[in-house]
Amino acid sequence: MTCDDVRERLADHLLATLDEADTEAMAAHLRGCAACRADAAALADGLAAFASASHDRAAPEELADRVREVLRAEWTAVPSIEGRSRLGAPWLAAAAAVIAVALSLGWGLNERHNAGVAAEQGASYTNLLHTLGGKEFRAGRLVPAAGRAVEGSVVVYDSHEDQSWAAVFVRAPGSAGRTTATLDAQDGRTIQISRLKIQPDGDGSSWIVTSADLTSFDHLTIIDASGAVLATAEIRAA
Amino acid sequence: MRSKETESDGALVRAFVARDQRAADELYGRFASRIYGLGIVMLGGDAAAQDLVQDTFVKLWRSAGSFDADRGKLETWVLLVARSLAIDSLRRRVLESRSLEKIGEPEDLELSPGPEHLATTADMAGRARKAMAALSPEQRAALELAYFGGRTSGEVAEIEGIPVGTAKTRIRTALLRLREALGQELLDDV
Repeated sequence: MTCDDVRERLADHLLATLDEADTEAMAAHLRGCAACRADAAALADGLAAFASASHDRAAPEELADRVREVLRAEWTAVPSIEGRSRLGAPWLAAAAAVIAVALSLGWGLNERHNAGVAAEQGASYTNLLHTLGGKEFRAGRLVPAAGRAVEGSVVVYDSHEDQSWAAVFVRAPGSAGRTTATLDAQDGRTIQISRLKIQPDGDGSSWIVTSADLTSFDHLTIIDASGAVLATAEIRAA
Repeated sequence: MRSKETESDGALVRAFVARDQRAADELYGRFASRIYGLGIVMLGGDAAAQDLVQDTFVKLWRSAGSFDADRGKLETWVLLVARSLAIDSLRRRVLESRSLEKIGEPEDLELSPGPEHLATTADMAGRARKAMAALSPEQRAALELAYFGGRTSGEVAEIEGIPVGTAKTRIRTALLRLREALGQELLDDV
């Protein structure tokens, strides 16, 4: 798109009447062309003048309180605008973000190290929570049962919207096979995290998304195929 | 280079996203009267205009993550969000009106005029009237159709019976003349 093309379409662009493809092309050109941006700014000033000229009326005084109340209700009901706008459901955003954290740590390439590190990412999870909303990120380091070689961690995302999420990362050389990872609450309730299979190289991971409220689940138990406890973890605020 | 206004507007929106009540109040103070006025002009009543203000602020918060101060003025973004909601509301009225026609109800909704009619009867007041006086009737009509009616240049051309290029020129020239006229008026006030 040339500068002439852009100039011809600028008014339509500012008035938001272009189709999506043209809008994107215009935006791309404007990002890299100061002259066209200056032209756009001049037209935007004109548009603002038109708005002031044609429809500036004092709103009723009580309307301010009404809008304030509505915004407060909105802010209470919606955990995070950023999480919603960028990735849709908060749990999906959380899942994607935590996977991104795991990948950024080189998960799978150096899992022995990362299994321990994941539980120490409290600051990262706190920042993530700030972005996504939700109640809390919690994490726990796996504690191996006597005689077992296990490293790893569990991460729990407590959502505001019935879409909570938990993930377990394990490295357990010599314990290949199917295991059972269970979240335990103090009142005796349990939630099993779907299949956690330890690969022949000792690595394993699994996760669950649930509408259940996970906030009272503060303990994880991993049991191997023989029924013996492989590891446990206490889950605390990250 | 980022201007102070751009930085300030960006910070204001970020604070609004973070649920800062003062930021919300500032946005309301800056834009409520124009959104309300837009509702009066386009939707034709106090109740509808108040609803438009409320809905606009909720939508602004929900979509604030998409605002990029480097790509456009805050004022333009806010007003286009409001206009978009007003146009949606008008479309719903048209659909409801057609639905009632089909079942033989009286056309009470004729009391709610369409955007073109409303645009032509929009009240222009105060110093705004002086700035608007800088426009020819043709320029003003084209701009009102595009702004209040959400019409593309092609649609404006069709409605007005003029070539598309002429419609584009009228809208563009109208915007530039308004900018010049308002700037001159501000200078005269000093």
